[in-house]
Formats: sequence, C-alpha cells, structure tokens
Amino acid sequence: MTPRARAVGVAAALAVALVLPLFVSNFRLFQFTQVGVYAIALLGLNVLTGYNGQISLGHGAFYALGAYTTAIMIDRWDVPYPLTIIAAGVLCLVAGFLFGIPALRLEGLYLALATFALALAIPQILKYFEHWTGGSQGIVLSKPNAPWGLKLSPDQWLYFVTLGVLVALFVLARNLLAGRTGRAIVAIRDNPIAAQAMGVNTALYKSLTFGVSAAYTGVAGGLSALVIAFVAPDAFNVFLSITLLVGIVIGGLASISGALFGALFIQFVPNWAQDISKAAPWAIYGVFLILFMYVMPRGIAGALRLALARAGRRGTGTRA
Amino acid sequence: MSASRQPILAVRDLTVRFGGIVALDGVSFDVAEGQVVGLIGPNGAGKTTLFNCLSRLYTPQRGDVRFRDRSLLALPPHRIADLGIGRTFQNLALFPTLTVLQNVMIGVHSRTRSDFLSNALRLPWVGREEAEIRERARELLAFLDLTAVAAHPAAGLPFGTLKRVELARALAGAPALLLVDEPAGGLNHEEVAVLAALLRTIRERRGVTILLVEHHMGLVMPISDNVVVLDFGRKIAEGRPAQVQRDPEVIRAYLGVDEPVQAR
Ligand SMILES: Nc1ncnc2c1ncn2[C@@H]1O[C@H](COP(=O)(O)OP(=O)(O)OP(=O)(O)O)[C@@H](O)[C@H]1O
Ligand SMILES: [Mg+2]
Repeated sequence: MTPRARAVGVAAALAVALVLPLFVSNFRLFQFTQVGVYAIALLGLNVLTGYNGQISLGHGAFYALGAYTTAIMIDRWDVPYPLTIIAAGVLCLVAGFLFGIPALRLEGLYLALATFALALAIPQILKYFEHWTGGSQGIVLSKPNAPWGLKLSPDQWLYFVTLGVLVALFVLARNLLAGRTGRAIVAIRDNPIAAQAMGVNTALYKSLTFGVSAAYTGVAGGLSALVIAFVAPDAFNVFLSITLLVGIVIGGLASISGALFGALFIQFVPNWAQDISKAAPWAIYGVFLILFMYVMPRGIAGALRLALARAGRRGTGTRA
Repeated sequence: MSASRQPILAVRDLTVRFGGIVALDGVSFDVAEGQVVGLIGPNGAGKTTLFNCLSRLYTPQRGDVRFRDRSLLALPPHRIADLGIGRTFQNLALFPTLTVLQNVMIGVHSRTRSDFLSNALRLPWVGREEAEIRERARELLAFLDLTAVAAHPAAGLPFGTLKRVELARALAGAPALLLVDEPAGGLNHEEVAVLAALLRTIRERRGVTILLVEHHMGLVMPISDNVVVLDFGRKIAEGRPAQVQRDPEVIRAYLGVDEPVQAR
C-alpha cells in the first residue's frame, strides 16, 4: 500500500468517526463506542500474537483486570475516571510483563494453553474476592457527564473519549512497530535464534511485548467499564478471550488497521446473526466465520491490501 | 604480526557432546586479528557446532572460547553481536516475512539503543537513529549488489541471493570477527570467484577478521592465511594452506586414500 493511499484511508476513517454521532441513534453510537473499545483490545492482542508470535487465549483476563481496576477505583475511592483508565493500563502492563516471564518457557500451543487457563480462572477469581468486586452481582457505575459544559450526552462523550484514546494508542503502536523495536518484535516471531544472534534480547522483548499487549487490553477493559457502566464476572468468561482471538484473525494478523476491522466484525456480526435467525445465531455466526476465512485468508486488512495493490497496478498500466 | 599480541579469538580445549556423539573433542586454536582462517573438515566434523559455541547457542561441556581475552561462556547469546562477532548460518536463518532491507536493518540492532518507550513516542533522536540504520543497511545492500531486491520479502528469493543477504546482515553489526558458514553453498564457479574477491575486500577494506567454514577448497585455500582441519570433532591439522593440503592425515580424512587435497 502506498503511503498516500494509507494517509487517505486514515483521514477518511477519522472524518467518518468524527461526524458519526450526528447521524446515528444513541444505541448505535454506544455500539460504535464498543467497536472502539474492542479495537484497542485487539490491537494489544495483535501486537503479541500477530507481530510477536505469542498466542494468547487469555486476553479476556487482562480486559477483566482493566475493567475491575476502573470500576473499583471509581466505586470505592471516587477516583476521577481518566486516572482509573491510566491505572488499568499500568496495572495490566505490570501483570502482563510478569506473566510474560514464565511464558518465555512456553511455545506455540503450550503458551496458548497456559493463557487459556488464565481465561478459565478469571471469573471465579473475581467472584472469590467478593469484598472488592461485589461477587456475582458485580459493580454498577454511573456514566460520566461531558465536561466543560459541552452539549453532549454521556454516551456521546464516552464515544469521543474512546475515540481519543484509540487514536493515541494507535499512533503509539504504529511508532513502536515501525522502528527498531518493531523489527525486533517481528524478527523474534520469524526466527528467534537469528534474532538473538543479531543482538535482540529475546527474553526481555517478549516479556515487554506481553506487558504492552496486556496494557492495551487493560485500557480497553477500563473503558468498557465506563461505557457499559457495569462490570460482572460472567462478562469476562472464556468466550471473551476467544472472541478477541477471532477478532485479530478476521481483521488481519500483524496489521494495525486489522484491529479496527476485527472490532467491527466481533461487534456487529453476532448481532446480524441474531437478526437472521433467532433460533440458531451461533450457527450463522460460524458460517460467517468460515466464509470470511475462506474468502480472506489473510483477514480483512490483508484482502484490502491485496485489492489496493491490484488496483494500483492496473492504474499504472504496464508494470507487473 | 608480533607473537606477543593477543589473538582476537582463542579456542581452548573445546568439547561438546550430544548424547553419545562427541561433536567437538578438545579443540584448540587461535585466530589472529586481521587474518582469514579456514575451518575445514568432512561432513559432521563439528564445524557448525564450533560456530554455535561462539554464538552461545551451545554450551560446551569443557573448554573455553575467548574473544579479545574475554570468555564468551559468561555471556548470553544476544550479547555476542555487540561484542563484535557477526555470523551467517549454513542453512539460512533470515526473517522470511521481512524485506531484504529490513533483514539487514536488524543487523544494526546490536549497534543501536532506542527502546520501547522512545520508539513509541518517536523522540527526535530515534528518528535520527532510524535514518542512520537505514543508511547503513542501504550502503551494505549496494556493497553486496542487493539494491534491486531491497523491498522484496526474504522468502522466495534464490538461495545464493539469500546467502548474500545474510552476509550483509552480519556486516551491518560492524563485526570485528565474522563467522561465515559455507557461503559458497549452491554457487557456480564464477560466483565463487566473486565471493572470494568479496571476502578479501571485507577483510582488507573493512578490517574484519574472518573465520570461514567451507567445503569448496578453491575458495578456502587461496584466501586463508591459516587453515584448521577438524575430523570427527578433533583437530587433525593446522597451518598454512599449502602445508595442510599436503598433510597425510588431512588427505586420509577427506579421501580415505593418499591423494593430495586438490583445489576444486
Ligand atoms: N543439536 C544437535 N543435536 C544432536 N547432534 C548434533 C547437534 N548439532 C550437531 N550435532 C552432531 O554433531 C556432529 C557435528 O555436526 P556439525 O553440524 O557441527 O558438523 P559440520 O562439520 O558443520 O558438518 P557439515 O559440513 O555437514 O555442515 C554431527 O554428528 C551432528 O549430527
Ligand atoms: Mg555445518
């Protein structure tokens, strides 16, 4: 993809995102806020799994950790919500880094299993610490109002907050992945022994990547607590972790824009499936999944890249 | 070369076993700064195993390897490159999804310092560092005649081209000592001559000491100052190329008969 095509794409997406609240209902807007939240989580998971080659089936656990950090800080200590989102990110950064250290010993499917165990355990752990988490009842929050006398509903305000965080985190991830660190992260996935021979401290890089990935997912979790204004253990079950993995594969592994496409998929396709058949929505969802993978084996981002490359070639004519 | 000068590399009593196989058996030799040393021996002699000890991929059961009088065994594998030791791999170890340019840019990793935070924030000095990395990689691509494939992913290029990419990537780390494992694999006669000239240039113009593993005697013998011969993990001969070629033990190891080792 040429840099110009990319710049045009990003500018168009941003323009659409900025005017969207004028054109859609509050409920739709809430859904798009969810898309933004998912996109942040997916970008985090993609940095780990797509770029660095570490498979996680347990990112729902970091999403939950972020969500509960925000919820508990607001509910118990009345901490201003922007600080709670930062705290969610920092806590998950540390948790992810620490989890990443023993994970160094595990490769491929073994790492997948270890992270899967994390996803399995988290709802029960949340229920166990009832004193803090409110047990099965969870914690109810109230949505923050727009500051500075802005004439925005809480849902609209949260939409823009999420959009702002999303843009900032996407820019940071792009920078991280574009330079020396990003090359090393991908080199580890492609050939860890050669990466080491080039001087890449693979252990440190893998743990740090795990930390960054968890931090993104934790921020997303924190935002989701604000947007939904409620957290409860069963929202963070194994299915969430698998949905996140579905998101990065459908969106496009090792692609930044793929996180956004994947988020649109995991937010809207289950709803469409529900609209098509109330009786068997998951069967329909499954069919959608298979179709997508069949038609776009490299995810939506990969298919777009290919289409743009073809169009570009046709445009310039002779060059093969 | 004065006798008192420290060798750049000293291999001492190096012994590596894999289960019952003794891959290296008490091997000792020196490499003097600025030399090209050929490391030869029949298949399975232990040449690549020796390289892997220098890269810290294998830990020997006995013995030591010292680079500029510092033991490598105390270091983790990722510290070897910034010490000044670069290498290529016999069976290629490139990063297939990255472009040729990016592969070579990773070679500069050990010479650069920017970290996660400074990259994410893209601080001004990180931009300058990135420009320097790119510049250095481009210069090496030109040197190794790879500019035309710079933007091509490493996967899918011909073996000989990829061998040059590995060489460029190793040189990108500005090594003082370069370990080259069978660079002539899959090359034809003319390409081998080009490679010989290239290795000479690397030594002379860049001042790089070279330890060269190669089966192609037509490449090893003319460019080596010294040759070390391994057979079944043991050093069976060492000396000037002409001496080694006449050594009866070497001839027996290579041919099983008493014929001189010919420059193919
Ligand atoms: N990781 C390993 N595990 C088990 N055995 C090994 C390992 N690496 C090397 N060996 C064995 O050690 C011996 C020396 O192998 P090495 O690869 O060093 O030989 P070489 O001299 O490089 O041979 P070639 O010229 O064929 O590349 C062989 O018998 C080989 O099978
Ligand atoms: Mg070998």
